[in-house]
Amino acid sequence: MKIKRQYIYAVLFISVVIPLATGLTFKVRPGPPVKKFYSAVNGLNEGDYAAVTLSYDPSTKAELNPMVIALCGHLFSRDVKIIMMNPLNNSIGNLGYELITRAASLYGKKENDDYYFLGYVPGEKSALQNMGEDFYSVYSKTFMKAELKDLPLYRDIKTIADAKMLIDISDGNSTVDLLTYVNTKYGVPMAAGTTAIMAGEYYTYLNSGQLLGMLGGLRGAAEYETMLGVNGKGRRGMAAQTFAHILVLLLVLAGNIEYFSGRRK
Amino acid sequence: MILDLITLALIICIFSFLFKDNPFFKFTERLLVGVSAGYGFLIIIRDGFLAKFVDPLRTGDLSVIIPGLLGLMFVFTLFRRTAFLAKYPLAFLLGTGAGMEIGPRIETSIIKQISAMGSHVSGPVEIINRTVLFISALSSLYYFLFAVRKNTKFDRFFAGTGIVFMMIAFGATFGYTVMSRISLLIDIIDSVVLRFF
Repeated sequence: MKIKRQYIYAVLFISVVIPLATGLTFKVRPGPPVKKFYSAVNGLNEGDYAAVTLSYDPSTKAELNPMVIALCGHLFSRDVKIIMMNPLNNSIGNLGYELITRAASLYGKKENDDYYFLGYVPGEKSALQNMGEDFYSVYSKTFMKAELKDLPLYRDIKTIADAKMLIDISDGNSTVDLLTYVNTKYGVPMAAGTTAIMAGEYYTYLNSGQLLGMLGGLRGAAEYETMLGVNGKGRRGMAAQTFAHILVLLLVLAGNIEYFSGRRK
Repeated sequence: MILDLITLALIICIFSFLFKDNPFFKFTERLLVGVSAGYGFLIIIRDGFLAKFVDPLRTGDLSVIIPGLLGLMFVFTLFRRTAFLAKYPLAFLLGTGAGMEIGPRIETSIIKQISAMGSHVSGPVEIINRTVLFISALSSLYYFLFAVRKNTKFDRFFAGTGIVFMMIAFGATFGYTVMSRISLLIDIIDSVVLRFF
């Protein structure tokens, strides 16, 4: 039997729309990687600096934006100062700035005092390397072109090693680059949030202790939101995610039954 | 509101490909490529060429001249007769890249991973996990040692074990990929489609 692919897409669409339209939610139980991530961020104290690197394209914002929003809220609620930047991806600047500005307004935080958005700088790996020698040889201005030497950051941070933690939110291999050039070389503790596709690869770094914690895909974001007690996009999407997964499972099962019964004939 | 409507229209154009290839999909696809290329070009000009080359020159910093000229030499690739000149900056890039990369990368992805196998063991479950991890790494690597394998019973069994572990890994990756793609659909439906209907 052959099912037209258009029917499969239509059923998939319905299976996602119904839970979202009805506001159906499921209980999400946080797993060990997310618990570790939460504990690592919770270990930061008031006034500490956390560097957050955004290394993803807008095409993966569905999975990663909920993480960034939850993370900013978590850091701001603990009065941790954020240095947000995107040195390994030049397309996320405006979106990243919008996200942190929105989160800051909810917690009454001031730009260029409680948080800094530095944007993109060319150089990629050599830029990361130089951040460990002299941070301001890489970044001299913020994303909105404020001179860094006039800001409190200049007094507190000389190199990236002065940050208490580095968190990379990525959709590619950037976490390994940051582990190589920042964690291994300058000893900055690291955690990561990543798309579901990349999560499998990063488990090795989590198990070895090189990553303190990890958020994997929309589920990771939903688990993190659960730990923070926030009802964000991650948690809202989990019911739709579950329905769609059940559908895919059924289709895989049906495909296999069809294949094996065909072989027997 | 107008921006939301444009977003919705473009999403419908892209999704129309699920029915069959059509001019609306082609137009949107080209629009995406063009906008992405234009945005990337502007960012490189603003944050790269102007911020890292022109601005320092204006303030009298002459140290950027040599790296700047090396960068500009890439333009020679556009002309067949002078294309060889672009190999010089490329040589610098490859040399510095390899020098920077080899040591730290080996330490991060090999030495730290191997040393982690023996450390932090905190109970019988952890010991079992590490043993499975060790056997899976070894058997998967063994599967690819085509020149060493002699097709004995042990070879077939151990390489077969590697295949089983790899299949489990591929299955997990497939599951994660499904989750990733469904997340994109959820975001589109949640933030765009449901706003209008």
